[in-house]
Amino acid sequence: MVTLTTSDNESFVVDKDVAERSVLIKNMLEDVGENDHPIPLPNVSASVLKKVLEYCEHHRGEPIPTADADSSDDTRKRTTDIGEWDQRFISVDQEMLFEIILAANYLDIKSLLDVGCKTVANMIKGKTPEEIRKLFNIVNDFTPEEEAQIKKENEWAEG
Amino acid sequence: MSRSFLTLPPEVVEQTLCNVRPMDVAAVSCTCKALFKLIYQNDSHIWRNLFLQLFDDPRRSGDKRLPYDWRGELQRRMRARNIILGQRNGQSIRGTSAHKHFSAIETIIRVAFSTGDFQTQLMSRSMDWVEDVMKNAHGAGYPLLSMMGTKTDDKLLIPFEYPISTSPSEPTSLRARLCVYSGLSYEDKEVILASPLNDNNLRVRSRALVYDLDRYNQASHWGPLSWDGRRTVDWQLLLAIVLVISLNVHDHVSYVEPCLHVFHPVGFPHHALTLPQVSRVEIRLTGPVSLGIGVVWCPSATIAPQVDTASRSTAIFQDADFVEGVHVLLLHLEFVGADLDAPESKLFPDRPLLHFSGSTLSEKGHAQGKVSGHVCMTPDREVQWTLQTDADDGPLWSSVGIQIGGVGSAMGVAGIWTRAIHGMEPPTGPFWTWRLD
Amino acid sequence: MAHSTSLASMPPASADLSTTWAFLEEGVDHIMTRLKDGVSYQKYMALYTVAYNYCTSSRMHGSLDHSMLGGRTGANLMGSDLYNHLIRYFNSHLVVLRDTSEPLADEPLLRYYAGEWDRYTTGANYVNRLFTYLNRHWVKREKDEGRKGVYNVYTLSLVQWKSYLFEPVQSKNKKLANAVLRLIESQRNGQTIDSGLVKKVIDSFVSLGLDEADTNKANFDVYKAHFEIPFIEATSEHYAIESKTFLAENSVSAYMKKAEDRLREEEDRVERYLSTTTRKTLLSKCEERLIADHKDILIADFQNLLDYDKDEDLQRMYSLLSRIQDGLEPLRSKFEEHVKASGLNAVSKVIPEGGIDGLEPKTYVDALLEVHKKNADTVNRSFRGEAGFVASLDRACKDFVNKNGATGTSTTKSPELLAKHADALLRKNNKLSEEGDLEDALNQVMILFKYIEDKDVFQTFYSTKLSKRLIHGVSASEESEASMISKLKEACGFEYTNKLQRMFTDMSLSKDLTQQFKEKQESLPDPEDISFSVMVLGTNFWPLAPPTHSFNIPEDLSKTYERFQRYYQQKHSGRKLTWLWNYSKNELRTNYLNQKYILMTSTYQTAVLVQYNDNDTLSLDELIAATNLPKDTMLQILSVLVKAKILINEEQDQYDLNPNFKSKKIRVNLNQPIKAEVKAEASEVLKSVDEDRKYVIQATIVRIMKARKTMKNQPLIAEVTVQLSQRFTPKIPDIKKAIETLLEKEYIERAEEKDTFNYVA
Repeated sequence: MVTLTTSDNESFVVDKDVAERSVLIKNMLEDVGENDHPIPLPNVSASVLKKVLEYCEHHRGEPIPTADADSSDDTRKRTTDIGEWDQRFISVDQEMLFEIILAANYLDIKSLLDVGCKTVANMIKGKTPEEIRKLFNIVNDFTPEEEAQIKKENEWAEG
Repeated sequence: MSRSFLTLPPEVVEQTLCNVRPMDVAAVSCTCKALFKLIYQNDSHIWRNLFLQLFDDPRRSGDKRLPYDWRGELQRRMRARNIILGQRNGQSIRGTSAHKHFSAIETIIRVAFSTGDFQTQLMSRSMDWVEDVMKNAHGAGYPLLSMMGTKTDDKLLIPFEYPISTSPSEPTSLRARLCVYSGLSYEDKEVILASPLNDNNLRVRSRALVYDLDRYNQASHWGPLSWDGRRTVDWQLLLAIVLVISLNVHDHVSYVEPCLHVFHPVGFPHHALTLPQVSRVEIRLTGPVSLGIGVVWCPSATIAPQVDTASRSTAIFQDADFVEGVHVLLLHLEFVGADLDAPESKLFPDRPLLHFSGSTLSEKGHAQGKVSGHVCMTPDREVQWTLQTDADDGPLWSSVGIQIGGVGSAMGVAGIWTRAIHGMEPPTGPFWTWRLD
Repeated sequence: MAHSTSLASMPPASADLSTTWAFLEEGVDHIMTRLKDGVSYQKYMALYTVAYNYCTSSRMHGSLDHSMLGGRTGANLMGSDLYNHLIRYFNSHLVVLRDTSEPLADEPLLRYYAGEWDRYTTGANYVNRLFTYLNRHWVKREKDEGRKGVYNVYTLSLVQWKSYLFEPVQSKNKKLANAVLRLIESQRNGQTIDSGLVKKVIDSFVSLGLDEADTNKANFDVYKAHFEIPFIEATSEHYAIESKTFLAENSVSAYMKKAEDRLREEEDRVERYLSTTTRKTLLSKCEERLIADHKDILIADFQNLLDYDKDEDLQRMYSLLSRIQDGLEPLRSKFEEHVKASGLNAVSKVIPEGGIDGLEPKTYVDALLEVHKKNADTVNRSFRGEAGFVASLDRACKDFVNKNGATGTSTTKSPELLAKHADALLRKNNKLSEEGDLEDALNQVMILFKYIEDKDVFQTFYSTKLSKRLIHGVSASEESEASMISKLKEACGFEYTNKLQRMFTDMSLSKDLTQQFKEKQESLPDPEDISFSVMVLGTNFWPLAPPTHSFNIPEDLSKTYERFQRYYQQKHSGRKLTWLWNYSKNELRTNYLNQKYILMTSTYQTAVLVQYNDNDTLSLDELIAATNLPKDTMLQILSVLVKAKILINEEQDQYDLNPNFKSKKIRVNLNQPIKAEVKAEASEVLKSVDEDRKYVIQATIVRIMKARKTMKNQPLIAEVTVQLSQRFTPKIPDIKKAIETLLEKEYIERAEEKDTFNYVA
């Protein structure tokens, strides 16, 4: 069992193999060695960690993609398919979604980061620029000249 | 601090964008300056990833041009796809300029042949993409017919007309070439065989084209080459040859069974590779010579017409009783040597003219007639085979064909055979030769 | 609390570069220099988080860059900040190490270097993980964009080690590599060294080889340039001197032992502390110095080793020379000469003083076999049965088996002697081999048979001998005969043994025939009081000649003779029976003496003796008149009977029956071959071989011409020679003669072109 301490000073006691879904924690335990001290996670708040641990708990025991898999990223066929459980898990408000993505990025949990990014990607797919602005609360800050430049750049997408 | 899309680290936003389709990325770039900049004024990370989601990695198929223009190439391909698929969406093909259309087809052919390293990569993403585009162009299931345009009765798209014009327009020729590569699917065959035997029937037209003996002369090198003597490939004729033989093979399934596997599914070069019975054999030559050509036991289906047509009418081919004779031959060829001084060798010095000799074989593998010949490049970079079969008292038949799909392709060599001493009477007919393992 | 201070002193997420780096540098330095003091979770997390925060601290910028050139976003700049600081840190750290190493040399230098290498790489691995986020994004991105010289943090640390420590130290007289080489040199000279230390240093050379394209791939550039090349050079020098000195003071066989030991040692060296990629280069260099350079001296000693049967040394010489290019060929040809000489020598020793006529086949065959066995053993034991030596042995054996002191220039003597030896083995009651050894002795015959050139001569002698064994009923056993024939068949094919097999068939048919005839006779009203057995032998298969002279069948036999003749003609009408009286034999019972004897006689002897049923005294002329035998034959017959004291010849040309004949045995064998017959036999056989050959050559020419239709003289002769080589080596004049004969017989004709023949259908 290891103890994780959040930025807002809450402690979570979890099984080692659950915590080690995070490559950061896995590497650290390997390098530093195990002891009774709590592991501080200064970039993660309790509410987000709770959610992340739920994910890690569900996926415990699955193989963790190695660092090498990173380099073959280019050739791996990407799909935007997300597993059923993951879809339910990630059905949260936008703010929590982005928090989970950030935490996965920080804790180095590749599969969770993928699920997060794919979820955002699915939200974008098939939408017009205006719909995307509305979705993410983006302000159109182009000048008319810039609009022309953008149209020219995107000509290829029209055929 | 409230989290929003724009507050995510740029590398995370990029990872997100790598999971959408190229069209969506275009849409995202239109939302605000920051995202436009991230997409268009950054390095090629996003574009490379988008490209590799859809296509084979060009770095693995020998394309050493670095840095590769990921963005430009992806955009070119997407544009080609949109033009081809645009036809489906009700836009008249006449609405698209001929030039645009031409370059779109050219792009798709280029993608089909950029797959390169077939052997290590039986699954080709690029090929899936090409197939998808072709199938969706006019509706699923009829890749060949839909490319020809006959499913929509759009005469403009028919890849050849009869009588054929002496200088076919480039797009027509390109389209025919794409059709040759695409091959005949079961669905195509069913439609062709079911259609009435009139002037519009593809089989009738193909035969009329193939058996128009006036086509075979000095200028066309007695083969499927252009009439102007430039020795470039006549793709419309080659398509007609492929169709005539494919349909005959379907007529005589039992007789030609040994080589039937080549026909389904015929497709772009790599498809032949997924068939277990066929495998590419390449002889790589050392030294300055390097033309990869497999030479092993070959069968060739040689189809001799029972009639000779001097008239320009297709009437004779509309007779349901018209049949062709099918001959399956085994050929054994061996490499003899390169001829570095031949004029054909000057075209591409790394691919000089190569000589072969061998024999035709009985079914039990005993040598029968002598065969000799050579292979060389045409000015338009196709591989041209010329074979001569000898009888006891001298040359008998001469065959000139094109290796479909270029050097090393498993789709075989299709062409025309004639009497070796030209200027004499028929018979003449099409042939298609494959390499056997 | 020390732990919480790490977190508390952690700079905020928005901290600038100098604040950030100040915090990180302290941690990195701790890890690189004082890792053994340990790192707490807080410290680790603080360092990771600060590095992470700095990398992700950029935001997307809103302003458009109208140059449209592919630029880099802020995030990338952040990464390069940290990366550059790491480079600077590694540099200054390494400069200190380098200065400390300055005064060191040899083993102390190696110890220092290996110790620091351990500490450095362990620390760098640690730092690499703390900067995971930098590796994952900035470094990977730079590489994807094709930028050279950017590595993940651990690889970076190695690159820095190489440029700031390894290369400067090496640049001074190759201090590191030379120290290693000196250690190896002293180990070669018999001292004990710390192999583990050498291994550590050499491993670091391998680790420092970096493949730009793929850092996971091993690259041996550094190892090769800094170690392998000088090492191979030193090795070459060392063994050039050592081998020369050693050979000057020791025997070749001591040297070979030494060379073998050295080669083994060098293989061990590779195992113990070198990269396995060096094995091939190292061993081939050692082989060059230790073997190839002294090849001639080794080979010169070969004959000596053979002469004294030094198996172990032979084996060693073989295995050493087999390691170098073309090392074995001289041994093979020397060996061939040696075997040949041994063979000739062995034969010359067994030739009796009186000349080769007195040479026992067994003695001859045993002499040949012994040479073969001894050298075949040498091939198997010392040369591992290597195919090249087997071929040398075969060539040599073929040579001395066919041509030696006993054969002179005759190619037929060896097959003759071998066939006679086989005959002796296969005879009943032979004393040449023990019961169970017969099969083995026959196998030995086959060993020599393989080398015989004129196999047709052997075949002819063998069939003659076999026919004698069969008709005289003196064959050892049917089983052994069959076994020998199947061996010959295996060696030469069905055609070769066809006739031999037919002889056995005839024998068994004859047995049945005799039985049937006997039963038939018994059923007749007046059976003969003669027990009769007959062999009917096919003319084409048996090498037996009918008598060339007249002969009156004795009256006592003629009845049976006629009855059988009739019986046989009834059974097989149209077949002609030729009676071989010269091979027939009889048993006669004596009634004229007190003691009854059984005389075993030839039919000719019988014909003479039965004359004495009516007379006690007969003159030569009377005997000749009664039997119709030629005078010289009669004289030979009589001389045997006189010698056996059955007849008495006291007066000129007068022969009396001896009424006082006495013998210790009841069965008296008078049927001994006449001397002249024995001598004639060998030349008869050879004559028939010559006849056969003429026919075979002609048949072969016709067969070839039929297939080729037209052929030139030279190729035709060559083809005939090739086709016949299985059976015998045809002489060219014989082939020419055969061609002439065929031209006469118009099987072939001369073509218009010179020296060319056409087949006439």
